[in-house]
Amino acid sequence: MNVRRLRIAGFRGFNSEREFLFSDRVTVIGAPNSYGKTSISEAMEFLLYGSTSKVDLGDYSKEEYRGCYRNVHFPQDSSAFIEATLSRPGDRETVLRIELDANGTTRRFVDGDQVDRWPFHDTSAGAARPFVLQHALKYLLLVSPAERFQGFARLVGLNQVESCVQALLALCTKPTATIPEEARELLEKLDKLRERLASLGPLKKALSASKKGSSGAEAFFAAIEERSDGLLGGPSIPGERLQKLVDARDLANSRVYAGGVNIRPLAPDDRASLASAQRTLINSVTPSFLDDYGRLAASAAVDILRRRTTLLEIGQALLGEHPAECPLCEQPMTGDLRQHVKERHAAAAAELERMAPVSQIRTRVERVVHTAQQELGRHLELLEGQLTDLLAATQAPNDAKVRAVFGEGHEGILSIVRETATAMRPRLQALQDAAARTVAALATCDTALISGNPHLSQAEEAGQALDAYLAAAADYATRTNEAESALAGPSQIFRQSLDAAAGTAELSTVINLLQRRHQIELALRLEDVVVGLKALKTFVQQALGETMEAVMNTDLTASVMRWYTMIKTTGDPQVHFSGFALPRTKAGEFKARTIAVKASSYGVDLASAVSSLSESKLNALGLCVSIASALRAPGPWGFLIIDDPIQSWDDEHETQFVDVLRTLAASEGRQLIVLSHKTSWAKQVCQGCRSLNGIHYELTGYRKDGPVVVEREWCPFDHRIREAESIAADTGATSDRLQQGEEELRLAACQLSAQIARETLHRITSPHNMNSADVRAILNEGGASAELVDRIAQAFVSADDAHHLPKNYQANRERISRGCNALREAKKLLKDKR
Amino acid sequence: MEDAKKSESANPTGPEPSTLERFLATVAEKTNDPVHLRLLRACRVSQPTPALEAELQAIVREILNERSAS
Repeated sequence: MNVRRLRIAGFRGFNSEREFLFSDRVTVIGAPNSYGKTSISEAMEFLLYGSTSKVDLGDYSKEEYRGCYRNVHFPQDSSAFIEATLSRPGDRETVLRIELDANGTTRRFVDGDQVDRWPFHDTSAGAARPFVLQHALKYLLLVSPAERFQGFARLVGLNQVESCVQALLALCTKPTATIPEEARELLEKLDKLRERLASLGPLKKALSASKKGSSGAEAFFAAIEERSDGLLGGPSIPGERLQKLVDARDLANSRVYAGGVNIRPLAPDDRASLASAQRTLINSVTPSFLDDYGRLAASAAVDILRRRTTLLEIGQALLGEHPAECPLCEQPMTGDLRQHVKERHAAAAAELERMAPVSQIRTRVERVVHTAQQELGRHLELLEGQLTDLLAATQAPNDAKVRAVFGEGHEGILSIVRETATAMRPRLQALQDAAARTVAALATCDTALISGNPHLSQAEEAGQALDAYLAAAADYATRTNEAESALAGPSQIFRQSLDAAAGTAELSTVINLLQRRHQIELALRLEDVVVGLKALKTFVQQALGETMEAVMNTDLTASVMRWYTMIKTTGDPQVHFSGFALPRTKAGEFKARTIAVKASSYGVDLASAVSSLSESKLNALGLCVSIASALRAPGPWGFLIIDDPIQSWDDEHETQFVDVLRTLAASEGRQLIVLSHKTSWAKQVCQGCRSLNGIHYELTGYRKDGPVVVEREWCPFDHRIREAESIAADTGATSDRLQQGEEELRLAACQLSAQIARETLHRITSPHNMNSADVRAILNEGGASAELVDRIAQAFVSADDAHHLPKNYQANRERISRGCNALREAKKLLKDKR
Repeated sequence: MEDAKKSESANPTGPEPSTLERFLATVAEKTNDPVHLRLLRACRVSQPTPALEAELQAIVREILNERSAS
């Protein structure tokens, strides 16, 4: 895609809107420093990529560059914008527009429709950016080798790869910063385990196996088991080995001190029992239990009802025999009274029927009470057991033994043990008190059930006592966990001291390893992952080196050399760039992300181009690298914006670079937009690329509303006519040369027509892309005679488009001469009209 | 401010493999470690760092969860 037109408003140095039309071949914009020249290339960068390389590459603080893209004088309530018209030759034009609000928000539009991303997004992702920027060149060469690598990666379209590599390397370098805390702790424990194994000579075989990761796990535990059997004095049955080791250790330890200073851990079975008891207690005194208990409490009333029903049944029977008198008092009975007795009997029988069988309820309630009593005892016992060792260790006479085991220098640790025990005692007491109240309440219920005198209030009291116990148990569990953490260090030191005193250090280590078998296997697997990332890091670096080397070797180096050679002058000393290299280690691996720039002096290799070449040559080299990269992977871009290439060069090198530009435009078919601070060199480019007929702008001043933009002639009319006449007069001119003469004639006709349109018709018409009909129309309108217009058009038609010549076309000296004369007449006519 | 780098992305479904895809394939040729291959697959996004970290955490969690399950 080429860029045809660019409109800028409110961006960088541009306040009020400015518009530039670009030639398909070369557009040169000359301007002294600070006239807004670089704002043009930045506008194109910002439009295409949403940021500029000056900001991306600069090591600036965000504060310094906050809001830097908008022109400070541009109205705050207006959106700054950059709008470019792009097109491929022969294809329809596409207008891209980016708007930038004062708050930094951007919006993108394609042909007026807002979009999230540009349509060329995918094809441009791996392409080099179509910019050769002077301020970016230093990031290519005059930086550390690693930064140079990054610069090259960006330049050759490997920026996605580079950001991916950086992310991978960061992860592989410090993976423990990313993994979950739990995994990190396991790995730390594994390190400590290895330290311990290293200190125990007989276990070095296991240590060696552990360093092989999870693949060494089997050998690791085989070594541990082998050593275990050695410590036990003979082989053991696998299922019994651990218990034998524990017994042996405990026996040996008990000679010094039987116990510890820790919170006693619950065995898996005990942990399950505790959880089961807890569930039972929680589910004991439920609303359903209270309901049952309430029914039992009401069972006394049922007995009365039953007796009354029986009495009424007997009364009914007796009334059947003697209906006229009451069976109880023998008083006379009326019919109404008999009916009343009958109804009361029926009601009492129905009520009795509704009552559930009391015996079933009683059985259920008794079972709940008994189970709660049992589970409460079990629950309490397990919880109490956790503190047994700690409390025992801080009471006489054990406290003296414990102090002796710790030895001197551990007073602080000993005081932690004591303080923890002191803090836990009231918690245990509270738990035991709550348990006692619950036991009493349940016993009351039990007794009342046996005596047949239950009251609902008894069950409610039991429920409240149980709730209080469970609350105390929860608090106890929390405090126990805290105490366990506080005692982790002291108990470990105590264990080590005890092992040292009892000579059981190795036994303890072996027991610990066998008990933590699964945990160790897991840690080894996690370590496999972490260690494996080191290998991945190497693979990534090697692949990156290969990728970069492929880019360098396949076409970049040769292409850079091609352009570099074009810039060289005949008088240059033979001290030059000689190629790129990706340094490798002695093992043949790429050194991490570095690019060396080689140079030679009269055939002898120098240490580096960076340290040996002059600034001007480094500048030339940087330009050549950028140009070669842009040509190597152009992606969708047909244009190349070259911003201020001429820096610290002599006249000859400047002239050589014009050849580079002409080659890029004419041979490589690139649309060039060249910006330079040196207006005289800009004119030299126009002259050097005269036949390409580009567009030449000059920024002649700068005001608050932005740069003053003036379009200059690419080549003066008179120069073109003189050139055409000179060619026509050259009897040895080849066909190509004559063709060039006719092209000069055509361009002169277009330039003159545009001038007539501007000066006499007061209409701005571009001299570019004009055809013979356009020229004829303007000349007619401008007052040229029909005969003159015909003569000009006749010369023009034959050379209407030098790229699409008629089949019978032949360059013709006379026609060129006639055309020149006709155009001179037309020029004179214009002068007269002025 | 939008950053053009943020909007760049791989084109895993396109007919032509992107430069990033080719690079990742080059790395993948050097290893058969399933962890490496998973991480390389996670790189195929415009913001690889968070994706990579999430993938490594997932890998580690899977190992930790195996312990819980066993």
